[in-house]
Amino acid sequence: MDTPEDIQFANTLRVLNASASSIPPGLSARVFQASVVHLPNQEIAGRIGSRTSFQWKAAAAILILVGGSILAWQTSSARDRSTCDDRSLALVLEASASSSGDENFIGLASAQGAGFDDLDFEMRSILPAGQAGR
Amino acid sequence: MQDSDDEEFDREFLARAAKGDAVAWRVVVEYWSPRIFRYLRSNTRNEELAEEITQSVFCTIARKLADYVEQGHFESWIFRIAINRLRDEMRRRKLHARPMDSDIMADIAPQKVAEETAAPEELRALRDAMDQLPDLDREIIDLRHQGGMTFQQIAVLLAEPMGTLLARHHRAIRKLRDLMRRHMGDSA
Repeated sequence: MDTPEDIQFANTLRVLNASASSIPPGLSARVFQASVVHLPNQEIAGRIGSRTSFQWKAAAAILILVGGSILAWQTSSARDRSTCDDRSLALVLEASASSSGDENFIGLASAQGAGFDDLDFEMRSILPAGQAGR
Repeated sequence: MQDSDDEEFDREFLARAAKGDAVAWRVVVEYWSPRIFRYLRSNTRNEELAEEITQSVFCTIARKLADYVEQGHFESWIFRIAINRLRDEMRRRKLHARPMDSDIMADIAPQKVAEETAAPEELRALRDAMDQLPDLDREIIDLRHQGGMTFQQIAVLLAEPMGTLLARHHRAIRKLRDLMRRHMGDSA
């Protein structure tokens, strides 16, 4: 369809354009660098990397939560026990201060809900050696 | 332009690149990026912008490569992406562009001015003539002579019947030749 003249002109056009169509140095390398990370498996590798990282973070978070819960639970029970012990101790001290008789001591402590085992322990740990057995 | 060897080349390296083979991807980039860049630079007349769009085109290709089935249409595909990117960019720039005095433009584009003065007279005439062509004619000329595409590929790419495309190209070349002659005659 093109006449020989047209073809010759098209060639001239190509030559002229080619003369001004030098490629900037490093173009392909820069294009490669910018695009290679988007290749399918490179992205999958990236996603696996982030998933692993996410899994580690999630596992660490769960561990912290579980650890925190256990610690909180233990602290809470210790506090409860400590409150009970403190109360028993206060009762024992109060009883020993207000009464010199074992009956009053045991009666008062029992009235506050302390068990005999508690009382035995408290008495042994507080009263001087020999007195607890009276 | 593309013969069976080229298609085989595309098929092999694209398949490998689609599996994440960076070496194969480098071969694809080295083969195609100069053509895409030349086509874009011819349109934008701006080397940096042409490179920016070229990078964007190859990022898109890399992302979509896994879903691409090579059937000898890679050339059309890559040029279609390049054309779409170019149009988007031109539209965006037109939206943000402000009318400027040509002297100011000359001041802020010393590289272009230097290139223009260094270029042969015919090249300047050619650029001026290209600027006067309708968009579609210029696109056909650029795809054929800068992008190095076959008429068949251009026909697929632009969704034009082959006969129409050849006729357009013929008319565009004639128009270009007349414009260049006029320009050279004026400047002589």
